[in-house]
Amino acid sequence: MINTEVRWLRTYRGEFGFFFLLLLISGCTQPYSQGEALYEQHCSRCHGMDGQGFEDLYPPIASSPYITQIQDGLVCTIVYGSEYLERVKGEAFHVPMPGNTQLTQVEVLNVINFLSWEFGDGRPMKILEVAKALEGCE
Amino acid sequence: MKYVLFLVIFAGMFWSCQPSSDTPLPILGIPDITENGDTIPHRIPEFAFIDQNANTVTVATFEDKIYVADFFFTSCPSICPKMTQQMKRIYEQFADEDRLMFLSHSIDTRRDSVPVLKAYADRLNIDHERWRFVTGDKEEIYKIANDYFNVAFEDPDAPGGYDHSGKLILVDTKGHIRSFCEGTDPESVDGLIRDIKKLLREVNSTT
Repeated sequence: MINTEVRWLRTYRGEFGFFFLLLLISGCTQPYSQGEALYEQHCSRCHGMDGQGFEDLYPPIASSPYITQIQDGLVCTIVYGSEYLERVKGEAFHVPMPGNTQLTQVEVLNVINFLSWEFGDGRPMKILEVAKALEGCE
Repeated sequence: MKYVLFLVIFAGMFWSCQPSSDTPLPILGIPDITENGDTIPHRIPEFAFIDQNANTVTVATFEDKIYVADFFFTSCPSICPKMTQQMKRIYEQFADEDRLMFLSHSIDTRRDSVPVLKAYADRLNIDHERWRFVTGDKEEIYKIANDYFNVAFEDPDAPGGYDHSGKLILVDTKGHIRSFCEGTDPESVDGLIRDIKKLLREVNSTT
């Protein structure tokens, strides 16, 4: 009985190893694929997939305090662009960032969770926090 | 003997596919044909625009220079960031090549004033002499875009309010277009960089 089981394991050793590796890899990849796709579509042209920005035209977001520790201001910036930042900081932006008012709250949440995972402390936001932050943007 | 023949044919096929590096870049565009049958190759017409330092930019600005031209606007959220990054890549590749200049036309004559263009150029960290960002009469810019194989028009539904193509155009010392590429595609831009090197060799051999 034991012998047959061992033989079975031995025969499929390669396959087991393969699935074990797959399990390992899937644990390491970032879990926010919609957030990543949305970031690529709406943000990466300027800020870059690596979050490093470009020259002094587009700021590096990877080191932004809004992202290294996710804050409500990030929600407002993603949705309303530099219009929001100009209001808060009281300074004019030479190269404006467009808003993304077309995004749903869930999409905003997914982008933020991707950013937090990729560049921040990895703490995910909750949908209710997004809704609350949005109320505070005006 | 048979093998040799095969080899010759094979080599011949290969040879004909590869343009020889001595072949000059073609003059692109639709030529004009005069009444007595002469063909006049396509050429960038006279223009007068204002750059980021409020200098007038004309054909004479690019005398004895070759240049890369594009059409963009500073608040463009769609293709321009990629185009500008590729333009900067070309600029850096030829950092010490003062016979190569850059000309970026803003198609947003409403927002892209001289100070806005100045701020944009400053933030791009480039030599303002070598890379001109220009604005001017809207109709004149939209019209000359066609001479540079580009289209530009206002479209309230387009991101940022303007629609335009993203071609980078290589112009020689005589105002002839010699090559172009898709400014959003790094591989296509690699091809343009090769053509710039080729055109620079041509400029060297004629001066």
